[in-house]
Order: sequence, then C-alpha cells, then structure tokens
Amino acid sequence: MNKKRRYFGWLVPCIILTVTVAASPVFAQQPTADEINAVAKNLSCPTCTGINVADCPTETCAQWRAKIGELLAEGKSEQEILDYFAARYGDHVLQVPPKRGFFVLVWALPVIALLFGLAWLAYLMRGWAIRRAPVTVESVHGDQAPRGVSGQLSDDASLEDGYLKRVQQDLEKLS
Amino acid sequence: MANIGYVALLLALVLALYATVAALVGARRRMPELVMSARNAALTVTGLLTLSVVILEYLLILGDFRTLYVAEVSNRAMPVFFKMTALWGSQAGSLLFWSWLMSLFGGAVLLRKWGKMRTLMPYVIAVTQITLFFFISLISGIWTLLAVPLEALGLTSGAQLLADMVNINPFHQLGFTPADGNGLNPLLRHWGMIIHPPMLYLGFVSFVIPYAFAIAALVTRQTGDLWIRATRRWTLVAWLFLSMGLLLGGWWAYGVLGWGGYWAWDPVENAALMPWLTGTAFLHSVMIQEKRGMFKVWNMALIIMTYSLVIFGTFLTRSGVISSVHTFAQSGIGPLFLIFIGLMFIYSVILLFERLDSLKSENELDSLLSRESIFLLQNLLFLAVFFVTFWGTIFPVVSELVARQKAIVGPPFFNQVNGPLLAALVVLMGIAPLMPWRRASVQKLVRLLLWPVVVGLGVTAALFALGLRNFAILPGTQLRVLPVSLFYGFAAFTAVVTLLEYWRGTRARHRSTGEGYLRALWTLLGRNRRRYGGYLIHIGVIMMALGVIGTNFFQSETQRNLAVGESFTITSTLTGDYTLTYEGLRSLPAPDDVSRTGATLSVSRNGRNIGELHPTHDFFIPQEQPMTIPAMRYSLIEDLYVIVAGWEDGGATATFKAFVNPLVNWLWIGGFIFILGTAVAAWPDPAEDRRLALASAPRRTVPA
Amino acid sequence: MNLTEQVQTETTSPRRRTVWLLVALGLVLAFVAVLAFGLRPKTSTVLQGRPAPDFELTAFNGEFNGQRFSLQDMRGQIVVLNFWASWCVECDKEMPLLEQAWNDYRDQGVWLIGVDYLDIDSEGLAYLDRFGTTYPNGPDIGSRIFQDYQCTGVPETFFIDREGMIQHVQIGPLTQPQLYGLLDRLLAAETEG
Repeated sequence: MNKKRRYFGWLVPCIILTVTVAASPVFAQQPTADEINAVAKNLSCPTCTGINVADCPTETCAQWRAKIGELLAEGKSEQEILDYFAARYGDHVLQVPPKRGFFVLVWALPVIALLFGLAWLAYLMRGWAIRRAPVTVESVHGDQAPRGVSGQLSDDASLEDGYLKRVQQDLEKLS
Repeated sequence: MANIGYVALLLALVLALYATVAALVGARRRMPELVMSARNAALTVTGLLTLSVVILEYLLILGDFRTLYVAEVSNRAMPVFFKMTALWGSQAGSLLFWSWLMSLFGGAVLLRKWGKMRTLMPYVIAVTQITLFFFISLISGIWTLLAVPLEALGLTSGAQLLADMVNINPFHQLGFTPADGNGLNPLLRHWGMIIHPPMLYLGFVSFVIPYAFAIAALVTRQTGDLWIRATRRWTLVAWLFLSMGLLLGGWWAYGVLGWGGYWAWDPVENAALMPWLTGTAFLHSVMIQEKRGMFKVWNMALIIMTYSLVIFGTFLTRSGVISSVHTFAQSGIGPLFLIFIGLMFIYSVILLFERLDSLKSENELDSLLSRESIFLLQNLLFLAVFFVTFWGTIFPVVSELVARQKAIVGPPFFNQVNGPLLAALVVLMGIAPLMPWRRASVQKLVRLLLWPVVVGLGVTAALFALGLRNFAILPGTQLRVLPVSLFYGFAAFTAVVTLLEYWRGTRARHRSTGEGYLRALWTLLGRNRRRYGGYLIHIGVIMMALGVIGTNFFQSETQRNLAVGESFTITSTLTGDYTLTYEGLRSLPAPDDVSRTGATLSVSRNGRNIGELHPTHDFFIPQEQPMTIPAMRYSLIEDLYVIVAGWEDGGATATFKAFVNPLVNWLWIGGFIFILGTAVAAWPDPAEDRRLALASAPRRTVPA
Repeated sequence: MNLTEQVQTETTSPRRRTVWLLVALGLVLAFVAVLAFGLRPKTSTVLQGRPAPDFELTAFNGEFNGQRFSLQDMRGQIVVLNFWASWCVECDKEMPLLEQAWNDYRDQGVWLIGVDYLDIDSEGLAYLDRFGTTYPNGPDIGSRIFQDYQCTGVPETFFIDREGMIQHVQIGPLTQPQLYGLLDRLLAAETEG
C-alpha cells in the first residue's frame, strides 16, 4: 500500500515533466514540406478553382501552408487542423464537405440511388423470372427453338459451340 | 472580308431555320419537294459555315486586329500554327467551330443515308438544323435585337446581358485597329491542347446523329432497330472522338499543368466524361436490342440522356455556371442555353412517354445468368458512375440553393465513390464475354471462369507476397479493408478472359482451316470487327486500369527546398530510391513573349547516375501568367516527374516537387489500344453489315 | 432515368404512366432550376439599394481589440464596410486612404469597419501595421460576412446609410475623391432627411 503510494508520488511529477518537455517548442520538430502538403491536400485553394492548397502557387496558399506548419509544430493532428480551417474560413475550404447536416447528402444520395437501382433491377428480373418459369422447365427437356426470335440467336445460345459454329459459317462462306 | 464572313453566318442562320421548318412541314404534308428543299438548305448551311470558318482563319493568319476576336486570341509574336488553332481559343471561335463541325456531320449523314431512310430524314434534318440554328444564333448577334424591347419592359439587366452578346460575334469589328492583339492563353499553347478541343467537339457534335435518328424514329413510330443500325457506326465514331478527347485532355494535364496527375474531376472534365459514360452504356445496351429486341425504351432514354449531356457539357464549359470563384464574363449565353436545354429535355421526355406503346419489348429476359442481365447490371453501374459524377459536379450549386452553404466537392469524393464502381465494371467486363445470350448453364460458366479466377487470385496473392501490401480505404470510412493487389487481380482476371476469347476463336479457325495462328487471328479480327474490336477495347481498358491503380495507390511525392549542390531523395514504391541533385538555374531561349527559366538536376537511382532532368518555369509576359513545365523520365514501370516550384536569390536556392508515378504510361498505351479497338469496331465491314441486315430483317418494322 | 424501364414491363396503365411522366418532368425542371440558380448574377452590386445584411465581427487590432461590432448596434450611423486581405495587392492602394478618411470623418458619426477575408490573423495584423491602420478590423469567421454580402473578391467596399441601406457598392480599389464624395453625400442626405 505504502509502496504503491510512493510510486504514485513520483508518477505525477514525471508525467508533468514529460508533458511539458514534449510540448515545449524546443522539442517540437519543424514539420517538413511533405508533412505540410499531406494536410494541405485536403484543403482547396479559396481564390482559384479546382486546385488544392498543396499544389497552388498563390500567395494565399503559401500563407496557409505556413499556418499548417505552425499548427503541426504545435502538435495538432491533421483532423484538428482541417477543423480549424473549416471553422475559421468556412466549410467550402475543405476538399470534401464535412459529413454533417445537408452535406451528408453528397455521400448519401449516390448510395441511395445505387441501392434504388439495384432494387429496381432485382424487381424487374424477378418479374421476368416468374413469368419465364414454365418456359425454363420446358427448355430443360429439349432444345426448343426460341420463341419469337430469329434463328440466328440459337448460335449464341450455347457457349463455345456458338463460336465454333460462327467460325465455321465464316469458313463456309469463304470456300 | 470580315463582312463576308458575317453575312455567310447570317445566311446560315436563316437557312438553318428554313430547313427545320421546311423539313417538318414537308414531312407532315407529304410534300417531297419541300423536304428536298430542306435538304438542300441544310447542305448550304454546311457550305456557308465552312466559308465563315475559312474567312475567320484567314483573318487570324493575316492578323486583322480590327476584328475583335482576332485581337483577343492572337498577337504578332505567335507562330502561324498557333494563329490557326486560335480558331478555338475562345468563346466566339469555339462556338463557330462547334457549329461548323456539327453542320459537317449533319451534311455527311444527309449525303450518305438520304436514299435509304426517306421517312426518317425530314426529322433528322429538323433536329440537326434547329440545334445549329440555336448555336449560330448565339454568335450571330441577333439576340442583341431583343435588348431594346426588354429594356422597354424594364428588364434592364436582362437587356444588358443580351446587348453584350454583340462581343461574341467572331466577326465583330472594333472601331479602331489595335497595334497588337492579346495573344492566346499560354495554357493552350501545347499541342495536346491544340488537338484536344477539336476531338472533344467532334465527339460532342457527332452524338447529334444517333439522337436525331432516335427522335425521328420516335416521331415516325419506326421504333424497330432501324435507327440503331443506321447510326451504329456514327455512334462509335462519336464515342471514338470523345474517348480521344478525354485521353488527350488527361495527357495534356499530365504534361503541362505540373501537379503530377492527369485527371482532377473538375467540372469541365466531368462535363466531357458524363456523356461518355452514358454513351458507353448505350453502345452496350443497343447490342441487346439488336440481338433480342429488348430494352427499346431504355436505349431511347440513354441516347436522349447522352445528347442532353453533350449540350449540358457545352453549357457547363461555356457559361461558368458551376465554378463559383471564377467570374466568367456574364453574357446572355447562359440563360439562352438554359432555355434551349430545358425545351430539348422536356420535348424529348414527353415524346418518349407518348411513344411508349410502340416501344414494347419483343422478348423477355430468359435467365438471370445471361448476357442480357450482365449488360443490365453493367448499364446500371455506368449510370451510377455517371450519377456520382453529375451529383458531385452540381452539388455546390444545389448546396447553395437549398442549404445556403457553400461547398466544394473535390477529387477525394469522386475517387472514393467512383473507384469501387469502376472496379466492379472491370470485373463485369471480364464476365460478360463468357455469358451467352438468353441463358447460361452454371457448370459451363464455372468451367469457363475457373482459369481466369485462378490467375486473378494468383496475381493478387503473388503481388501481396511480393510486398504490395497497401490497402484501399472503404469509401466514406477510414477502414482499410481492400488490399490493392486485389485490383490487379481483377485486372488479371479480365485480361485472361479476354485473351482466352481471342485464343478460342483463333484456335477454332486454326483447327478447321489449318491457317497459321497469326493469320487465323488476323482473319478473326477482320471477319468480326465489332466483336474483336470490342475485346481490343477491353484489353486497352485493362492496361489503363493498371496505370490508374498504380498512380492512385502507389504514387510517391516529395517537396524540398535546396541550395545548389544539395540533393534530395524520393523513394519509389516499385524500384528504389531516386536521388536528385540541384546543379543550378539558368534562363533559356524562348519565344519573344515568354521568359523561360530552367533548372538542372542530376538524377541517380540507387546510387547509379542515370542522367539529368530540366524542369522549366515559363513566364508569359503579356498575360503575366507563370507556368511550370515538368521534366520527366519515362519508363514502363514508372515516371519520375519533377517541377521547379520556385526559387530565391536568382537560383541560389530553389524549391522542387518530385513525383514517382508508377505504371502511368500504361494509361497512355492502354488508351492507344482502346482507340485502335474502337477504330477496328467502327471500320466499315460490308460483310458484317449484310449479316446484320439479314439477321434483323424479319423484325424490321414496316414503315407505315 | 431508370423510370422508363418500369413502364416497359407492365401492360401500360395510363395513370401509372402519367405519374412517371410527371416524375420525369419534375426531375428535369428541378435540374433546370438548379442551373438557373447557378446562372444568377454573382456580384455584390445586386445589393445596391437594398438593406444591408447584418454582420457580427470581433475586432483584432489596436484600441478596438476584442470589441464586438454588429451592424444592428451601429444603426443610425454611417458604416463603411471594407473587405481586404494581406495577400491582396490591389488593397495596398486604398488602405492609406481609408485610414485618412477614418481620421477625417470619425467624429461625424461614420464607422469604418475592415473585414479581413481568408487571411492568417498574424499576416493580417502585420499588414495593418504596415499601413498604420487604427479603425476596427476583424477576421471574417467562416467567411460568413463575405458570403452574405455576395462579394466577388477583394477589395470591395459597401457604403451603408443610417437606415441600414446599402447606398453604394465599390468593386475594386477606391480613389480618394470617390471615397470622400460618397461619404459627403451620405452625410448630406442625412441632414436633409
């Protein structure tokens, strides 16, 4: 018990010391251009079109990159830096809208549309499958000529054979 | 001279309108002479627009700066070649060029198909000529006439917009002759940018042909596949040009813009991609209609969408409706375009609904395991990619309109959402050729799929074992679940399927004729161009996929500020370390209006010297516009791509950005094969034409 | 777009078809409406003669540091709202003019407010120091003010009268006669009224 408490007694100053040392500017590493660009890629240049802050040659973007460097040196994470820029300059400086409020629709609508499309396709195919069912049974019994379709289709109706037939037809025409 | 050009333009305008009206009245009242006169008027429009284009070219080469357009886009210092290409350097010229190309296609189709499709022709004339009328009207200055009545009605801003349209007449004369012109936008002085717009425009305008035939088929209720067979090759040609336009655009961006990539999903690029996506879906699904008489409504809807997207794309690039920051010169073009698009959409949709009864399917789907159902799924995926692209492109406007919040939808969105859809398409591309029409038996399919699947999984495992351990992020999350090597596995799977198709055909020929394998392959290609051209396209797509995966997942990039003599290292994911040493900066000889600075970097890979790179920085003096031209070291494995981003103290120190783009050249090689395949598929083949005609003869709708 | 496929499979029911037609037309019209909105004139001059949107700004320079300003609170006084940024070259021309006008008109019930647009605070403050600017300036948090005033860029200046109406919008840098002329006009209008 006693021993444990003594350890705790040391623990607290130790933690404080490590935190202060780690947080002090002396130990904070100057971020490299690559580290800055990695964050800047997620911001779009506010005064030009279609270019991100990492690739943008304007004065504004140079200032922003410097600011990103500053924030990185303070130990901020990428997300914290992006949040800072979004709060300070508006959501439209982000390359992709944040996932909240109306902006969720950017992501949600394509997913909804795709699911809707797939559901539709399934519905259509099921309808066909049900109506086709008797025919499918028949076709198991014999290789009937397809209904209402020109004969050319039967060439393709089986796999390789269709090919060989086609090729053979070509050859017959040749000779 | 300019006056002659302008008069030709006005005459073309009047004749286009006349041709539309005459064709429609002639068809309704059954007056063949009137239709004939419409045809002649339409051909004359082509001639007149040609004259206008020739005159504008003449003025550009001559350097007639009294003509506003010439003064805007050219100057004395420009070489003649650039003066000529300045025809499509800006708004007015582009629109004239666009109209001219469309009139050429319209004229060509009249000459080629006149005898064969008498009943459809009047409506084909009407559709192409009304479109031409609209486009010519934009540059003819006639809308300025409306400015006065609008002003009288108190609509001052509207009147102003229309009055300003006098400036987008390519033959507009200034009151004085400037000493020199402004010169062409520096970004456009690259041969990639010189052929890119004409290709794109050709792709855009040639889609008017299938659209016009589709509308004609709807109006006349000849909704069999007559219109599809008549326009099959035209559609392929349109698609060919559009594909080339897109590829060249990417190549230009890669070689000129200096950000290390080739596709940025910006609105202008998306504008060209969207009709390509729906057009690709159309090209595939018409095959079902030809073979099985199914999906007629669907095909109509697809071609209507494709052409609407062509017009929408032109509108996007010409009006600045999406880009919120760039203030495009406000002009009446935007609103007029909008009215045109709106009317076109509404007319097409209503017409389609009116004719639904005559578009009944002749067959139904037999089985879920059939080529038809795979095509349906493929269509759905293409439409999904289209929808994502469309939604991402217009979302900023929607967000501002509905939520009053500005937003930007950048490349990460498109990559994350479209990426998996495109990967799924590559897989489908592998399965589809194995699927027979109507119905497949499971055992056979398993047998056919066995090897491709084994190879695909083998490639995935081998690459993973070899150290390709990156994982792709699941869209919308931070989950890294998909090993990137799996994408290569997909590509390998599809490649094996496609090559096996060639192999089977060739072997069959070889066995039955005793032809040598190469000769057998050649005849196979020649005898069934559409099929094997299509497979060639598929192989091209797989190669392109290699490049896309390589650059998306394995690109490395670094930026450093260096003093002369210092060096930096960039690590390639595939080959090792490149070390670049800054040797110095000097100014280089350049055209009069450009100040060019080049840096020299010596490059070594894994310690071995492999040469020098010279990235340059061009400053265009009159436009005060800088441009960074990358220097590259190409190979089939990867490109080393370097730009000089800036320098201090006359070059004592300089900042460089370097990229390693793995497999990027497969994108261009694949693109070339893709184009080749399209050309093979589109090449006229009398034998196949006859076969197609015979095959579909029993189902041809008899003209009423 | 997939809509049409549906109809094909069913034996045609006219009512269903009408519904689908209306859905399709609705989508087309919505699309056209979005585009029309995208085409609206994107310039702040449309605000001329209209009530000025309210704004809130916390000053970050000199004697006003930390002080909150809102248009609401300045009702009854003339407000000149100037948008600028440290990276804006054109702004250099008018910054000394604005400071001079502040000194000349401050006592007559004129507020000059600078809105620092898309700027790094430290850069903005250094820029103000360079011109010895003393009137209140503050960062545009979230670029809200810029958006509400439908600005097209910097510099842009709005002249707001005592009733809170925007009397003039200046896009691009001001000249001295223009600035003083406008201020005198606004002051005179008030004494008459």
